[in-house]
Amino acid sequence: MSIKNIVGFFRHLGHPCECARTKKLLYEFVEGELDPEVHRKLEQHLGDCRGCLEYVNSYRRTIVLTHRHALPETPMPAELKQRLHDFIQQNPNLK
Amino acid sequence: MTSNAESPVRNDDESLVRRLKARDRNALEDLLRLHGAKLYGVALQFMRNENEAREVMQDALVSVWNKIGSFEGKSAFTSWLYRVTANAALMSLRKKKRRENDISLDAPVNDEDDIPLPALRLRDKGPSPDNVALTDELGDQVRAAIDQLPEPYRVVVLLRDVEELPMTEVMEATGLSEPALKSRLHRARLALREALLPYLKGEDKQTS
Repeated sequence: MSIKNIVGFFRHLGHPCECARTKKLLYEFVEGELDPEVHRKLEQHLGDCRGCLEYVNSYRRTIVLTHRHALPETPMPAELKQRLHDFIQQNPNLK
Repeated sequence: MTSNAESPVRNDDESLVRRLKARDRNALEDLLRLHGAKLYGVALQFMRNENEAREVMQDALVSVWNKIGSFEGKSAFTSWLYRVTANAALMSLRKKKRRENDISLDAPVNDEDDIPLPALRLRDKGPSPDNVALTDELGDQVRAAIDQLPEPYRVVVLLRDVEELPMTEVMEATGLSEPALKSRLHRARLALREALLPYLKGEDKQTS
């Protein structure tokens, strides 16, 4: 195994301090609220640490999936349709 | 979806807005016909109770009627409708909390004393045969996970990540300070992430 491969292997293991820092700053990083220099350093760490990169990506995908799937169309029951029809036609507040 | 498929809906919405502003009561009936299923879905997701969701639908109709004058067309009409329904649901939840004298949505929170957030448990549905089933299952599991969030967490997720309201509006709607809101939202996202981990890998394959 070459020196380059060995260095690469250890870089993918990540640095414990940097990994803890990533988790601590996750919300601000994803929301784009970090100081540009801190943001750049964290991005640099993500380039070196596969575990942190997957962690951040899974957090981002959770937000996307939540937005995409949270609200299904739910057909209104016939009784509710009738109730709302009566409400619309009879409610004095709807003038 | 193609733009051709979208344009009739937009035309319907433009007509609805015009008629509502002209105080045409029957426009509310057409609004329900076009968007009722989605609005009922919003109400149910907030309330998790059919009877309460039905009350919210009535409140939302009154709000639409009273506030249509303020709709300027800067956002899609459907987004505005969802927001009105979400606000009606939120008001209902707050009234309910006051009645129950339970944990207030306005209660100040911080990282140390925030409301307990138990691990979310999803039912294992086994492997999916195809992509359509996988998408259906994914949607079911996302909704099941959100449904299990305690109400104060569910509300911030629905307002911020689903309705995509600006932070200032979510703070106003919930009465939370900015740090408290961020903390609660982050914890809710982490809980959802943990519950959905097997599906996040599936999503990776689907989108790559």
